[in-house]
Amino acid sequence: MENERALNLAIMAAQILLKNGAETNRIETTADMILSSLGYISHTFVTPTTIIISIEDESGKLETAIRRVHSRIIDLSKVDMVNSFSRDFCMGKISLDDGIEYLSEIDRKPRYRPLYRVLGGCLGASMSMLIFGGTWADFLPTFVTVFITLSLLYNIERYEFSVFLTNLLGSIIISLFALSFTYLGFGQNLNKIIIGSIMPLVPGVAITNGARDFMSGDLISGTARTAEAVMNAAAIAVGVGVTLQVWFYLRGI
Amino acid sequence: MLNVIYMFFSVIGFGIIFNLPMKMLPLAALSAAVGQAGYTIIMDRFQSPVAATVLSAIIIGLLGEVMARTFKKPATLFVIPGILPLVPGAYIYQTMLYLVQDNIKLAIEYGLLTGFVSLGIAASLMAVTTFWNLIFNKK
Repeated sequence: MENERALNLAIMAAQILLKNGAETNRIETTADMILSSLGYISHTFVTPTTIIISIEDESGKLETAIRRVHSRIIDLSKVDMVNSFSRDFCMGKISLDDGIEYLSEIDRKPRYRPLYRVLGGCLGASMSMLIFGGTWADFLPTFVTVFITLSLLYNIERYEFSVFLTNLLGSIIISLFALSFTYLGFGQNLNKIIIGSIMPLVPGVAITNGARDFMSGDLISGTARTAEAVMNAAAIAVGVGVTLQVWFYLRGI
Repeated sequence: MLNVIYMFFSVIGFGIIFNLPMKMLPLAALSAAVGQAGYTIIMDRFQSPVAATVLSAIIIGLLGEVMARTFKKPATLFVIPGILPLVPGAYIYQTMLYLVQDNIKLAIEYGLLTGFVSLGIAASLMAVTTFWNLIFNKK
């Protein structure tokens, strides 16, 4: 029983980390640290969709558990909370039973309200647009474009479409609005508006985490994450590319 | 240098998407702003996006580690929102635009640039973390 509870705790921590966008190395280290503080020898294998942990106690008895993770978001405050939890746990401040309860509490913590997240995306996108060389005349069009796109995307989040589809849809909407705004005379630089607006969709974290996984030797995760990033970037590129193509064709430019 | 200010607010925005705790938003934004200052300087001097991105990522990585040590939080918290505006979204877009326009030569050029910039970000972050742990976290 003791072994199972320890394994359960470690795999829960790993699952929360993976679901919220931590890099592979951190997940494996956290699980290993939790288990070794309880006196087990552990073997952890984490890919972006699966967690496998196997432990061995002093008598040589083996236990293994597998968890499947279907969708991943980025929620840095949960990564932070699990991180401080594992530190406290390893120092013996939290017992095994409390630990399991504490982790499921972390898992249920809400994110910022959708409105704040949409506004955050608008701010981030418009400011990036200015960094990329847009003008203040492009500010409002970018802001409105992102506001509409993200509100829509967060509304259909509960249907759990694949990220490929969401990005495709998002980039089509973005380019349609950007094209209409510049056509109607709001905003000057079509390119800058589009580049700025796709920033909240661009898989920046996936690209970086993928490359980091490679460099820390987690080849399978690295390949998978990089492939995911390339797929999502392709979705955005196709969405923007096709919309521009059709628009220019219809307008005859 | 206005870019530094834009960067600050941009990172606050992205920090909210990534659900960064309220207290850490300005810190992450600050490190990104300093990184952007480095980016602007290198871009003015050498016109090399890869070199500028690498320097900027090193700055963000280092500041992230310093803040991680000071506030006892994982460095990722400060690094991830900070590097997001560095990620070559613009190059991805340009690659696609040239592909659509049948300009394969420029498309390949921008495609390669995208790859190098992303590798540059990852390599610099990795290098900073490795050396930092080597020097300060001896176990």
